[in-house]
Amino acid sequence: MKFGILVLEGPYQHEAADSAYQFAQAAIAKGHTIEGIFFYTDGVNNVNKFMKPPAERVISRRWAEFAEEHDVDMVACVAGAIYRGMTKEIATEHVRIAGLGQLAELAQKTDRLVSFGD
Amino acid sequence: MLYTVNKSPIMFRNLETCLRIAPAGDPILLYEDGVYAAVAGATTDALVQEMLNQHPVYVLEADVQARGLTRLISGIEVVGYDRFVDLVVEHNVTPWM
Amino acid sequence: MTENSEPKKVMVLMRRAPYGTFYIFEGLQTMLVMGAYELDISLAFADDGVYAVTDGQDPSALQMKPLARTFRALPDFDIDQIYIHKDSLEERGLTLDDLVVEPEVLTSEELAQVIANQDVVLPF
Repeated sequence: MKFGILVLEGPYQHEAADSAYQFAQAAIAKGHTIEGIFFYTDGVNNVNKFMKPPAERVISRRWAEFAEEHDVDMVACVAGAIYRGMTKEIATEHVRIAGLGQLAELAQKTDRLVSFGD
Repeated sequence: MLYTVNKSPIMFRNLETCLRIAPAGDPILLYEDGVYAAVAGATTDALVQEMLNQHPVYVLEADVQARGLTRLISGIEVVGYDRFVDLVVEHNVTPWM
Repeated sequence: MTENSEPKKVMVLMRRAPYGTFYIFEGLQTMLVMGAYELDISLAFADDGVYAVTDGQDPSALQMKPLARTFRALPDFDIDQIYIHKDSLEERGLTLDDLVVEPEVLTSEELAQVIANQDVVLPF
């Protein structure tokens, strides 16, 4: 089955950012496809490549590796990004900064769009 | 429809308001702080029993384990993320967050 | 599913109060953009979400954007499936006269039925 994932909360603040990742990993392990991950609102902060938590999971790196390994389209919402000063230079590789239209397309082209937030 | 609840039932009314919408028979998954609903001996016992009479109820193991919860209400199925995925394959999802 | 399939039924479900968190604002942006796509969009208010559309809001002292004007304009964006949960309204002492939109009032069972028909429910 084709899944899309919407992430609505930031890293190291709310479990949603972790739950989304665990769900995505489990879906891949079950043989499903993750068509795209859309980071919205504070969710855009999950792709900041400069985060450096000491001796911890690195949430942005984890997503980047996931996208690389499973060929997943990761999009940070352009509005959410502008509001928070998240630019292409700050985001990890593989992340596109694009509009909410991408979320609409994700809803249309997947069998399930699952949201993780507060 | 799979309803998912991620808030403590004592701190928030999410579970209670979810239960007045979710039709009997629709599965309910407790995850994140929603897993506290599965703990036996809390003031929410009656609410949870009522839920179990109407719905298949699942609780996410990783979240239970992270919080050190051991006294779980019987009848709630403890599941991994793999079963969470299966439930989403079987149903569309309404996150009651 | 292919991209040529029927438009997906997508519901934006608002259950939070406005201003205390940004969720309602973001849900509204989502509605407006998704409404322009080939999707079958609906909007439902339940729990504190009903406060999102009460009349008389003025966040100017907070330097926040007002929401009510945009909610009023939803029909102009061809968003005409707007629902509100009856019990949520009543337990807050509200009636349709208090609102800036004219939603269809649904009982719990009716709202559950509308939700059951959705392909996607986006929580805000």
